[in-house]
Amino acid sequence: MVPDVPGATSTRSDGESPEPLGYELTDEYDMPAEVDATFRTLRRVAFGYFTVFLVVVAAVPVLTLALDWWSQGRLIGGMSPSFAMAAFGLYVFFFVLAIAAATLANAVEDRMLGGPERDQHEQRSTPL
Amino acid sequence: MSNGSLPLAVMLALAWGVVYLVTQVVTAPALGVGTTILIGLGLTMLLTIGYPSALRGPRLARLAGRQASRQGAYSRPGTIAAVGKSMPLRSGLTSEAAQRTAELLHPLLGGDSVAITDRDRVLAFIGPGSDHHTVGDPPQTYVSGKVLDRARTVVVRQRARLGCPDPECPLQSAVVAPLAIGKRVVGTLKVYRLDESPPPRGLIEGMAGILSLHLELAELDRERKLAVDAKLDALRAQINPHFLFNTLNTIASKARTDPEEARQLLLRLSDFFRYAVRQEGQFAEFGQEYFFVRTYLSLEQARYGERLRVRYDVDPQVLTTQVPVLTIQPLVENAVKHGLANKVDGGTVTLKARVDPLTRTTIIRVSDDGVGIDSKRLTQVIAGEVTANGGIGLRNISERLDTLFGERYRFDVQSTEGEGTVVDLRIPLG
Amino acid sequence: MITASIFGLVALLVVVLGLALVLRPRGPSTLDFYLAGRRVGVATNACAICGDYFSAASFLGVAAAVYVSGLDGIWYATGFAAGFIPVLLFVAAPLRRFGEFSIPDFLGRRLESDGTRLTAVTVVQLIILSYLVPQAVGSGITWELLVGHGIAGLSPYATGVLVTTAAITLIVALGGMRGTTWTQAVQFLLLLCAFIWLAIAVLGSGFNYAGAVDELSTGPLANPSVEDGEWRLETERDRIDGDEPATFGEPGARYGQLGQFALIITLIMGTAGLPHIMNRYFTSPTGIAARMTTVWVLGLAGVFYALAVLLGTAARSLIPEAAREHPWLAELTVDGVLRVPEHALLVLGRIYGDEVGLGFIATGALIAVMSTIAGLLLASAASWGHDVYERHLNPRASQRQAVWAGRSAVVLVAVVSAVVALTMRPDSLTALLPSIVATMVTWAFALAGSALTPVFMLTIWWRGTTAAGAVAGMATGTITAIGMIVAGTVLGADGLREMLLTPTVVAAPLAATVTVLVSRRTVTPPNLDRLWLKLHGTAADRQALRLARLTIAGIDEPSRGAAGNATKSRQR
Repeated sequence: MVPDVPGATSTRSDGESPEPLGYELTDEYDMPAEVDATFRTLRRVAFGYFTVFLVVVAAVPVLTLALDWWSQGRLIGGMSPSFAMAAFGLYVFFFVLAIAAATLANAVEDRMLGGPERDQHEQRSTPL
Repeated sequence: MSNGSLPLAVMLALAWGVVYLVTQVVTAPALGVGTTILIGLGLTMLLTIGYPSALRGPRLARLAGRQASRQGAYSRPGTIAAVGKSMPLRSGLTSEAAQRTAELLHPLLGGDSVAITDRDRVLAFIGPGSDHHTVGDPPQTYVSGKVLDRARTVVVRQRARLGCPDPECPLQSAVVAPLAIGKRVVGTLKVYRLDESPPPRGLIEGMAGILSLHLELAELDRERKLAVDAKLDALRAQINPHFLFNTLNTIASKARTDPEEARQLLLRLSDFFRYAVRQEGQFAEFGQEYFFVRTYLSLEQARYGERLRVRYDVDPQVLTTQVPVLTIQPLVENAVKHGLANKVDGGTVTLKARVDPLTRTTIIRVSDDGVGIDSKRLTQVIAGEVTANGGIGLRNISERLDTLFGERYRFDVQSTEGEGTVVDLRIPLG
Repeated sequence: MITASIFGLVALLVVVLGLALVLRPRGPSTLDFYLAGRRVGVATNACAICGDYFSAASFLGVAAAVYVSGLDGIWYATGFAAGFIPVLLFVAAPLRRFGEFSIPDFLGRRLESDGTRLTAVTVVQLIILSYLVPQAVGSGITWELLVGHGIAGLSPYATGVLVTTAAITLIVALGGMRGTTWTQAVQFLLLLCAFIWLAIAVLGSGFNYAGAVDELSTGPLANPSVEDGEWRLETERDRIDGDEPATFGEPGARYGQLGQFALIITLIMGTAGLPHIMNRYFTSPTGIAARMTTVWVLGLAGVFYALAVLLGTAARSLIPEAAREHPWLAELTVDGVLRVPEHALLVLGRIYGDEVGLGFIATGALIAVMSTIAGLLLASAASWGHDVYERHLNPRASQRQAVWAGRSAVVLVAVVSAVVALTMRPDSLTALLPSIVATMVTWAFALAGSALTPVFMLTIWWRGTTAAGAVAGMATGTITAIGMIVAGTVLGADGLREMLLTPTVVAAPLAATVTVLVSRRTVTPPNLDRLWLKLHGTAADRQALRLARLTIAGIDEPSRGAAGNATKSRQR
């Protein structure tokens, strides 16, 4: 999140203002091969999660056909497993899946692009 | 070590519990046994295969967490078993470790005071008498010398034979056992009592034996670490000076035509050396080693231009696994230097990294479609007889892998002349 | 009944208008007007997306669908929520990183082709229109029930359509996205409050959710229909088990196996192609923020739809009894079952909160309609004003001219949608479809999922996509989807044909195949590597983060910030 402060807009608009620590903002850049690798890894992640997602969503109606228990059984209170799944189980699943996928994707990007923070480790020369 | 099998087992147990609850207890007509077992097996497979895919969160949080757990291991005194497990002396006979050991042992050994000494100094003293048996002084009692010399346990029943020079000393009897690494006595464990019946000799001798074992292990650890460290240092020193000169030349020539790119190359170069120099310990996250490889290859790409093409193929699971530091980059460097540099129209270096969840191995493959190496030369390279233009030889890497993993790794080099070289590295996960 | 609810409505409209005016961007630039200056927090943006997304279809429609067809109706809720999973996995972060103004602009830049941009504008406008109409219908229905009579000789339905459309048009034209981001977020929170209040009231009165489902599932499901000018309850036939009657808790009341899948796929694929939702992603500061926004949206949507399903079930189970106690329910029901299922929540609101309750829920419904209409109009304005006017009609337009072009586009699109809504009296269609509003929204999803989503995913995840391929894919998707829906409406949806009304299952793979085939024969943009860096690289994200961190550090340590400023001024 970029905080809403004066100055942020001006630095953003020209994009080349030097930072106090000696590195310029434009020093962040990616190499095509790295981006391509990240892209392919992320694609694999996304399709993996998407498959899980499709299987689970499709399983709810399919189980109705395959397993009588799925729509005839009664959980505590009287809902059938299939109704309980559709009424709230799936939303919980979506949310958990979303958190897992987003965390993984962020972690992959963090590790596969860019480097460790430069100015944290290094005692650079003092600001000009 | 904590390779994550425990959480997996817990998760599996939980999953089966949930399956049982949902299908058998909660629902009114319970599900058939066959279907339930099928569901359970499906979940088990999913969890087992999917488990390594879960990355373990952001970098910083992990480090902090690990340190915390390491400190937590010492803080539970009580039984002898706890002492055996928490092994403060595993890191060597230092006064800090001795102090902690003495604190742990004090309530267990049936004495009033407990002391640990090395050959020259009292390292820890707990209990009555600590006012004049101060830590850091040479061992004052006469028996200490006797035990250190003869490497045998001595039991003292009379105050006089204890040989403490201070006439006010309240200690009456003692058992003094030697601490030894192999046959070499390095210190003593002393347990005193204020009356004339000495503490149980068998117990103290046994404990001294355990402590000696720990010390021995510590010594072995230290020796092994020294050996590996020495290799790693040698490795760092070997980082190819030719590479530095070439890169600087590239940067110098770009400085005129494309100052912006030259600047970025310089930054990358500094990233490269910072990583090589600052990397501590034997292992690093694959993600960090990958950064090092990327930095290296982007510098080489600036030099070779279109002739050097790069392809990374990285599984998300690999990124957080631990790999030995500075092993992948040398492999890549070899591929560039021996495989592609001499090929007129250049070629592609491919780094492929995978995790095999079933055998719990990390598989790293560096391949190129360069000139290749003939089989005779290949044996020489592997044997370490040829290290052209400096750089890190394959032999160096495999030796280091030997010390780190023993037999539990595989390191294969295959090369066909004119078609390229494939280096395949398999190391245990976690 | 009428005074209290109208008071509520008027007060609400005033508040929303006031918010829009207060938050109006000063010195309007195009960037501010469309994208709120691109600085919107994750949680706020998530709420705003929910505000855009939860339309009348979600607020009234999902509960109505559950009310009418039980388990089969829940699939609407599931599909609406699930739609954000593909968005999260495939679209959110790259879309933001590429960072254009709108979907057409994104496709145009990514494929470096004006033709693609114009085709996309056409598709986007079609989607927006087909999404706007059911919203207007929804507001008409609400007005009918709430106010009951029209203004200036118009029918109540027509008045509802016109008043809401006019109000929203005004807000959008005045406020722009900056105004709407905040109002959307506030509006979503109001919607959620309405649901939570109703759920608490229902549960507090001793309603046993699981027990009700069990009880409803014992008997056959019957719904009113008109036969020979007379309302009568008719038992729903189970479409899976053949001629047996359908029940509430089991599938089959509305869809056969195939229809169920088709509906789910249609809704899942549709969200990623909805222009007003995707435009919101451009306002996130970074790709990661866009991704986390989606996670939030999924959480909020889960809560929202779970409540909607609960309330639909509650309405089915409680209204028969209430009909005996409340005489005013008589004219709305047949043997304790509502004639118009969309009334379900409104009736519940009145049962539990009298006029105030009805006013609250009705306000919620109108808010849902308004916020969605606002988002749609803005998306429409962005694609007319930015993609067509600024890029093609008047490339040298000043900021002021561009904003005015957007505003006039807003008015134009609003008028068109209102006119279409007026010609579509809901009564004429109710008999045909489960929940008219939810179904009509499904068409918009179908169009988006068939025409835009496949092309969208391919342009992001396949390097080989070309401009010609994208155009061919979009055209194929649009034509197939529209053709199938029209055929379905004309032929009636039964058996295999029920798939015709949810055409994405057929149209999307077709569109993807055509895109791939045509792309194989044509040439990709020359600057592919550079485009790829922008689309999938995180350099810009990292810069933005670093900048943010420095700005914060600058606030914490004034001395360091001052040093930074000094450097800055020296270098200039």
